[in-house]
Amino acid sequence: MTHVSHDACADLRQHLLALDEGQPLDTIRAEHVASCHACADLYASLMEVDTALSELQPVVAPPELVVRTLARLDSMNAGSVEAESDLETQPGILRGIFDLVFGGFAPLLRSLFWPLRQWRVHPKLGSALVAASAVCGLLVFGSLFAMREPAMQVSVASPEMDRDQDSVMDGQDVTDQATERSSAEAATAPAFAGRGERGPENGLATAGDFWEDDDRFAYHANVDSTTVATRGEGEVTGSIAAVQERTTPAVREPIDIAAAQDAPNRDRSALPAPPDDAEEIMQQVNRVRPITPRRQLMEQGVRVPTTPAVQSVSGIDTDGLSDGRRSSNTSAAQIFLRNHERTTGLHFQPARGHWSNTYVPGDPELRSLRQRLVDAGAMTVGSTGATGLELAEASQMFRQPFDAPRRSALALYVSADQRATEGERRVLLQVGLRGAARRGGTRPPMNVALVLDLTHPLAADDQARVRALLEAVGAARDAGDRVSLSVAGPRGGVLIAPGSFRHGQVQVALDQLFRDAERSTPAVATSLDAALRVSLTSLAANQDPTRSIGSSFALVITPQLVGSSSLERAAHVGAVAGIPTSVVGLGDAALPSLDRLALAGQGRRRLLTDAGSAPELVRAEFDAISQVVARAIRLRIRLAPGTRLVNVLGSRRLDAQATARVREAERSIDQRLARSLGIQADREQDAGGITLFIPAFYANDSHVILLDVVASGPGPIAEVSARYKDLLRLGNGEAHSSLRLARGTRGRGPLERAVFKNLLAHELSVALSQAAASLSAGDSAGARARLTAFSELSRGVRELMPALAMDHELAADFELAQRYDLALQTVMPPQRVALVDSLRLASRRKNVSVPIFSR
Amino acid sequence: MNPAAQSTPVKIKHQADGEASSDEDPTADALLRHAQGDPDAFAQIVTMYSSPIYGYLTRCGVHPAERDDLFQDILIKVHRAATEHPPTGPARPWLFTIAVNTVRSHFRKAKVRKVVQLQADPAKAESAPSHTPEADVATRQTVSWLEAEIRKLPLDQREVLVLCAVQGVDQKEVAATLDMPVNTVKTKLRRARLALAEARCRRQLVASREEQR
Repeated sequence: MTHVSHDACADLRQHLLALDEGQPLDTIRAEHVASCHACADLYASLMEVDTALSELQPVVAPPELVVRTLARLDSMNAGSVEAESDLETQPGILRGIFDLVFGGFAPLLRSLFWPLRQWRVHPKLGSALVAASAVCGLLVFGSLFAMREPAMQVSVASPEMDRDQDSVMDGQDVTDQATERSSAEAATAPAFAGRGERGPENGLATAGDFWEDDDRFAYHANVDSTTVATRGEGEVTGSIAAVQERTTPAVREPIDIAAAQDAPNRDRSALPAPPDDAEEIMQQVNRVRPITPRRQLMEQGVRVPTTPAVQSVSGIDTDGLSDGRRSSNTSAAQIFLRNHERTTGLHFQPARGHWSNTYVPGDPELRSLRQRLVDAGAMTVGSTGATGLELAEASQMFRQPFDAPRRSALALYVSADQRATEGERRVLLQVGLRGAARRGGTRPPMNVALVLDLTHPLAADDQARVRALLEAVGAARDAGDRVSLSVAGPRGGVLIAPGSFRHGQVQVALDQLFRDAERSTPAVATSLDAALRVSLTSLAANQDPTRSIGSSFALVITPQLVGSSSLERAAHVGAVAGIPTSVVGLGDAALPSLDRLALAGQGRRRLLTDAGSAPELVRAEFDAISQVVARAIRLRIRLAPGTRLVNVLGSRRLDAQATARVREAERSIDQRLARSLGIQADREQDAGGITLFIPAFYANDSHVILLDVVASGPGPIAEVSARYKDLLRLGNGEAHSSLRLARGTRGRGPLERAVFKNLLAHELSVALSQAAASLSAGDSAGARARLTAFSELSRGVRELMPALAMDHELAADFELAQRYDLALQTVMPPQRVALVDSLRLASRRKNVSVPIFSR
Repeated sequence: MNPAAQSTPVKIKHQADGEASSDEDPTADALLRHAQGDPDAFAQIVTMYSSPIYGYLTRCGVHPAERDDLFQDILIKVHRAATEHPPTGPARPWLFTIAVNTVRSHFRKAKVRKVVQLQADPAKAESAPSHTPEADVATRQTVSWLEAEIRKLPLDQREVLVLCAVQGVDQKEVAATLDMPVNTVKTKLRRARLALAEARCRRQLVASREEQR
């Protein structure tokens, strides 16, 4: 913009003196405003002033003032002497109290009632002191009362235990910093029992998942009444014998672990009687394997679980049932399990190199699919009695047995779907990550560059979305934030410099832009990648290196992104410099190109279809920065010699170029955090193995990575390490864990079943996605076939594996597939699009732990 | 006189012009009944105008420590004037005229009070907005900044702005209240708005220069 002439500016000022609120400028003066920075500022300020005047809240007279005034007028009407000033009037009762006090136990009570004394001299100060004393008293008594809240005591007994083992790779004692467990020799330990107390915060139940921690032990119980019990010195696993709960007053009595350990022998009345069929079950167990400590405990009166021992039937690990219980429905499951178990005819991949990250921060597709289903309305799908959104939201990621870390940002868990083997065996290896609980507090100041893509004219709807979005950015801005606006397209460039982002400025600028867009387009226009490059350069020049990484970011706003390598390259360069690029698509913007840009820029992708949701979108984008608990997570999975990799489910091996990009990004974050937070750089060397790089991990998130491998036999299978930048402790974080298979034919325990369930969840996710693709192509029969196949698989697996028969999460998935099958049978043509979206949303929801809408 | 409920905190709506009559103007009706000795009539006046008057005092910049007293003074004057010199024209402008004149008189005396007043008891006086960094940041927020800037306007522009743009009084009624032509009211209002806009521009310029340092 250029300053045109003083006369034109003076003329505008005179014109504004004759302009009423809300009156627009005429064309000539509007042109001058567009070309004169000072006048544009003035006009924008006038608009802001008018807006602010209209937003001034009415001032309400204090009720007590009105009452006093009326009382005074009453006294005037009665002809009495005009009342004293309120500041000098004293309540008569208080005067009497003071006289009594001062006439009696003056010295002692004077000190006790000092606040009331102040009230006499300085009423307002005295009132404040009395109120403060009352609040303090309430707090003290409240705290005392809270200490007396009743607590639940829970007794747990377990008949057998296994312990953690040494590092499988190099024989060294490995300390898992994130999970704070130390390794110990493998051993079978005697029965374990203990007690703990739960405060009002812990969710405890006799059925379902629950945790308890009284600094002595923690335990976790699944709905099928099996347990994983963890003690301070190592992990123990087993089947729970009993869970009892009772309410006691605030418990401060010491818990004698040694005595509790003897509880199954000393106090059998504390445990329920063994089930009637326990002896029969034990006979079945003894037919297939030698007497174990479990049998010994049974004889001692300890209840044993009803879960049968493992039986190996026809080469398939069925977790044990007699042939009579199988039905024809298990054929699909048997095929699935057979394929899952086979070790021949497989294609193996090299267990090294960088693999694509499977953890997408926030999974933006969820939001866009959900919004489309919301827009579809309350119409039920077919005969299901549910809307597409209701159907999809019944799809949930299985709850993972991952504890949130308490003293670090990230926790690492490694497990498998098998516990033991006699020889070569197909194994599903699971690497689990869990972020720390959400950090509180305010977000850091932000440096934001908005890049508006006007390379194509905007439709009226999109113009409204842009206005709403920019207005929401202005409203969400804190005093320390700096926001700029650049435009790609005709008259492109920096429209509003950092620090000048105000409502009036934005509206004036947009008016001019949209007006220009309707005219003939100049020959020269700013490309989107050029606009992004300029914005990122400006951000890099202005950002404060002491602020947390990610507090600067670029936000591309586009109705129709035409992706290009130069655009993605620009975003990548910015991300490498510590400035992520997120993207907001308007209306029906194509998602794949938006996703590519967001991934290249290590940012987030969002979709704005309804202008009214702009404030929520902006708030989520700004708040996301404060939810990152760990950065630059490098997962390294080293398979033991003899263990071969079939696949990493949901991932793919990166080519050289993509690998170089990932390494560059990782080193950049490493070095930047070293400069800004003092976290020592530690990423120069690549030590081999399967590597996955996750740029950021969010609070409270869980993520699983499944590796399909073939183990050559019992022994070490894999060692996993996670190195990351811990933003909670502001230091380098490390977590290590390993896995080995025991020798034998032991069946799946609760952890192994949890891993196997995740495989089934993956199968459902794939089935739903394939059904959506088939339906979208008009192939309803094919879509039904996908879901029918899964339903048969699910039913058959639960028949073959009784331990999973009562699993409510698997049952819910089965029911979900059935409902979608019904929907496919009865859907009307106008509902098909919504049903496709519903299937896709349900598929994606199986893979994310935290709903996108909360972030 | 019974304590009346608080008036609802909404801006005063436009009213038709014309002579005050008990059938059309509830204010005039209440004043008339008060003059005739109705003990509850003035409570109705207080109910209707307590918040607009208090808001006018606040927006015009009357110090919080003096606001309550001035509020009572205005209503006492209205009470007495309604008995001794009831309005012959529209009632609302008459009532606001009392408020405006009281405020003008207050500010005139305030210039003298600044010289002779002893230091006030800090326990009695409400704290004025301090110039702490936090307060400075807060006033950058447009609305709170605006309230401060309004108080800096010349009194004549301030009166018009508060009555028209803030209290929502009709421009013709404001003209009657302030005893000036309607066009003069419009001119003062526009000048006040432009003055605020220019002040905002200057502040933004200063703020951007501070950031660049």
